[in-house]
Amino acid sequence: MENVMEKNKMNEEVFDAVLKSAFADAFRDELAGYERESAAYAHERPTAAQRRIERRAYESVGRARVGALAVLRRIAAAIMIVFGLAGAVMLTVPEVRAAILDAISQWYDLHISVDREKAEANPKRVKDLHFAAELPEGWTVTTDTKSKKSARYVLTDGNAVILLDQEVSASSVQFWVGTEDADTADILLGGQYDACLVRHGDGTLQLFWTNRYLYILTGVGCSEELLIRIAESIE
Amino acid sequence: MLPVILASAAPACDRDKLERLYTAYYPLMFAAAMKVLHDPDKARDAVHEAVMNIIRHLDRVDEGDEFAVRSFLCVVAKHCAIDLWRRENKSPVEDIEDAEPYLSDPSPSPLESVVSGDGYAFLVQCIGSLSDACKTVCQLRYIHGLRETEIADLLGLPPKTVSSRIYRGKQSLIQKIRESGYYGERYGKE
Repeated sequence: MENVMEKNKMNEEVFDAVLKSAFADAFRDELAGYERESAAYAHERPTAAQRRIERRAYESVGRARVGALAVLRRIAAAIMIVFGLAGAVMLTVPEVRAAILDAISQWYDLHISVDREKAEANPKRVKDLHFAAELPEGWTVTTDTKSKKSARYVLTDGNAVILLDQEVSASSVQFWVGTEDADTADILLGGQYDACLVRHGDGTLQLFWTNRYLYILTGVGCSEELLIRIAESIE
Repeated sequence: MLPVILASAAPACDRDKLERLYTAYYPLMFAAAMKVLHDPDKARDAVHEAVMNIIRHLDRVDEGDEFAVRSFLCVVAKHCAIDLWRRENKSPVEDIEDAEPYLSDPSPSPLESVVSGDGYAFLVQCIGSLSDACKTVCQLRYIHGLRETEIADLLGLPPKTVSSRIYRGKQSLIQKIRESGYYGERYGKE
């Protein structure tokens, strides 16, 4: 049945192609007749009024043909110019300039940039993401949330909680970590992997490798030693 | 500065295309209209109407294909001339909605019939016998590949009418092929 339908469809397409050729051939004789007769009308011209109307119509269609995309392009260009000019004007005001520089400076003060240029790219599949080979006594995994692109493990001993966040294919060479009311320390994990430990003012700890996979451990209520121990067991 | 940037953002339009077409093909379109109207003033009006319609579809005029340009301009000019003649003579447009639906036929397909013997020549001959209304839309559909909505806009017809005319034209050709002797010769039918 399916073959018959396919054959009919193909026949239909080929027949349309035959029709295209046949209509063209059928029109050739008619066209040749018009061409012969057109010699007699070589000096025929439309009236001036007709030409005027046609030119006007042509110009209005030409304008319309600029099309929606081109109109949007124009609008975008105009907006960019207006914003650019407005920004330039605002920057001439010392107070505005100072406020912008202050905001930039504040942002840099409250964040650290982690350069991961030499880091390894994360595995491409969630099932290939790594996990701690062994957990300290009394610690269990309470939640195991996996999506298509990331995984989060929640470890707890009943008092403290550690989150292990991982993403597939994370290869960003740089990312920013908020360090407001926090201090940072560069440490070595397992004697070979560079890592950064962020101690937040509320006692939360964050630990991530800078030259290995982009995994982030967040510890709440746990010690630095425990967090480092779990991080070192991740394989 | 702003006007300069905005002006440069606009795509360049081919402002000379209409003039070129006019110079090269006005007499041809006029001849097509004269063939129907036999009156120079009316033919001029018909060509004017055709040009007004073509302006909206100038991008469909491929100047690199001489036959395509000539046939496109002539088909539209002729259609406008017939339309003008009908309006002036209050001649009703044929009722295309009454076209009988084509029923499926278990016999060999029209394509198989056409590709046999002189079937193609017969098909070309049959096209000549189609009504002007069907022939015009079919020419624009098959020779120029215009969509039904484009044909409707170009000829000032409702899209449904265009669809019906294409359907009716095609079915009429199929019917003629089926009834033709070529079909019988090949498949041993009377």
